[in-house]
Amino acid sequence: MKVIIETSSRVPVYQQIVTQIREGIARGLIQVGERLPSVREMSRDLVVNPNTIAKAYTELERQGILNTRPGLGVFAAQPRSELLHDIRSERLKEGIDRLLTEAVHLGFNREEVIRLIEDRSRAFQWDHSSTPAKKNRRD
Amino acid sequence: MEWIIETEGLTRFYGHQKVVDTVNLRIPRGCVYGLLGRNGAGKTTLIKMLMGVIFPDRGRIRIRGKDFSELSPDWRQNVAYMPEGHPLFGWMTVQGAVDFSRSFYPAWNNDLVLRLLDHFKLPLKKRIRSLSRGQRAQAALALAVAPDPDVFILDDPTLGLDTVVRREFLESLIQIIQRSGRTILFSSHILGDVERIADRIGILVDGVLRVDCSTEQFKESLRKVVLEVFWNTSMLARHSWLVGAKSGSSRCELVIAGYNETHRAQLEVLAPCRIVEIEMNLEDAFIEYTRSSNNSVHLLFEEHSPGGAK
Amino acid sequence: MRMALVKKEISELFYPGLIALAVLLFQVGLLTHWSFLTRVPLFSLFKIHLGELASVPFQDGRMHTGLALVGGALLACMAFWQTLAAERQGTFPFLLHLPFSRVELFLTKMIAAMGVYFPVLLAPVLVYGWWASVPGHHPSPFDWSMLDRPFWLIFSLPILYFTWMIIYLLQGINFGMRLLPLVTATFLMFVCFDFSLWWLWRFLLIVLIEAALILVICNLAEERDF
Repeated sequence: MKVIIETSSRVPVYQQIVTQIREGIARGLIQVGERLPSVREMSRDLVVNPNTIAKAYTELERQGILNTRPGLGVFAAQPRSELLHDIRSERLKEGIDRLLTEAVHLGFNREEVIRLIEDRSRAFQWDHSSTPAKKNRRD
Repeated sequence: MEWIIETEGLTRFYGHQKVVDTVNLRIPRGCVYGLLGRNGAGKTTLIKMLMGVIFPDRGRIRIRGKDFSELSPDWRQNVAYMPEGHPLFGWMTVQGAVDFSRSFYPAWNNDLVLRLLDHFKLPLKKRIRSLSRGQRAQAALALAVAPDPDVFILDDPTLGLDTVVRREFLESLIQIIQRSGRTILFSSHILGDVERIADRIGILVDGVLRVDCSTEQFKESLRKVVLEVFWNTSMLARHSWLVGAKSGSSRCELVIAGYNETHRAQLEVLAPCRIVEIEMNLEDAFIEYTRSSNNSVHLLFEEHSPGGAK
Repeated sequence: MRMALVKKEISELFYPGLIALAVLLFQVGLLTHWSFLTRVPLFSLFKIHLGELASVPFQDGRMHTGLALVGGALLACMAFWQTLAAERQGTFPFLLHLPFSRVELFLTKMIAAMGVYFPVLLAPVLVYGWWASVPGHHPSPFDWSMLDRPFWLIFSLPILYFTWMIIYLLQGINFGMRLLPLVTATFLMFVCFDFSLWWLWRFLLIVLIEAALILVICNLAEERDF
């Protein structure tokens, strides 16, 4: 996956990297467990100060999206499941509510929204192991 | 924190004009500092003073904690300085320039120079004067890197380079930054470059250092706020946090530094019918800051965070 | 380390020096009516017309005039190159960043200039002297002591260079200062050719002036903006 930096954007560079990597993992462009370029490599490729990359990685690690294995590199982490299911679904509901509010004001009806969600979701990578029945297979 | 460069109240006049006005600059080890400003804002004068090429009228400079007057001439051996326009001796060949510079530095890394010159595809036999601007910048960079300095002071290194060469130059610069502990101060008026490369930015406006904070903080703290009001906006008081204001009959655009809840509360007192907050990109923010005629404008300073430097 | 700097300065002054040398040798050629060339194997094949050598070598002042004009021009040109031209090209920040003090830098510049100047002016005088010393070249008597006037001139002429350096370093500060080389040149004429002064006094006077000018240059270099 290629991160694209827009210097004319309003979003700080490190934030751009965070957003794009998050999205890349969600869409399956970066597989779980895949090694990401090191800070040096990415800094060279993007022509961005290594401190900025490091800051983005730290932020992603804080969010549980990446983890660093010392000596090995930075890897895309398993989607977080350490949070309680309730908390996660609370967070998701907030996002869905925002989306639905927008949809209502844009004049969509319920069926159209569901169909669109169905449509778009095909572009994303879903973690099948999170259903209880398949949980053991992951190990 | 170890300060590589510190200035205290640095002031310089040209005639009656204050070109650099009471600048307090502190750059810690490992920091990449981007100095921004319009032409004639005092960037080159400031850098020349730091390098001892010209002298301040007032104020002090400390390099690595040592007062300027106490430094012996060989302090320059581990400070690379690329003056504006990359002056080299035109009659020398590239090889000649390498041999010339080499004789002054005990820690000269000739392999590195040759590798860089090869990477830049600079012919050793060619005369400096027949190189293009970009090639001369590259030659100057190769010569600056060779003595393995840990401080780089670059005065508008990408001035006059075309987009491709500029990008290549930045790529080389990134490689330099990657060696940890290297401190870089560079001036530029290309904001994109500064945003990519710099940890911290400073903005000089008419010789005054108006902004000195991390690049992100600068970007995040400036907001354009559009107020729609019934009253005539010209009565708007000048606040120190107001960077710029444009007002029409019922609408006014404010640019605010360090925007926070207090500002919002203060604006709401004015009872506008609508307040719209817009984030600004670096370029807009820079333009607002540098063209502001408000001399009491909020000076955006942020303390160096201990974790900020490498 | 310092040698590299001397070498660089000398190579920058090489062409002006070469031109000055060529002009002076040409003048020697004219003064001797090229007769010295008959001693060079290849040239002896050509029958070069030897005109009348009316005057006594070194005594008619023609050599001095040439030395003063060419030497003065060379010195002005060198001083110009080492200060103003370097400033225009923006190379001073580069030079000043080398691990030398400013005084060292300027002393090196001056040493290099003198290293070019003395050979360029002395060589033609010696060639002319050698020619004059060989019997049969000219009808008048000759003694090596007749060379003392050109030597005095060559020795005192660098005062012009130092004053030019000062002028260039002070550029734009005071218009009146630009007349300084003229003043010193006039002064030189008096000192150099005032043979009523005992030679040691003359020598000391010139050394003193030159030392004072060098001191001023070092001071200016220390305090000036580049």
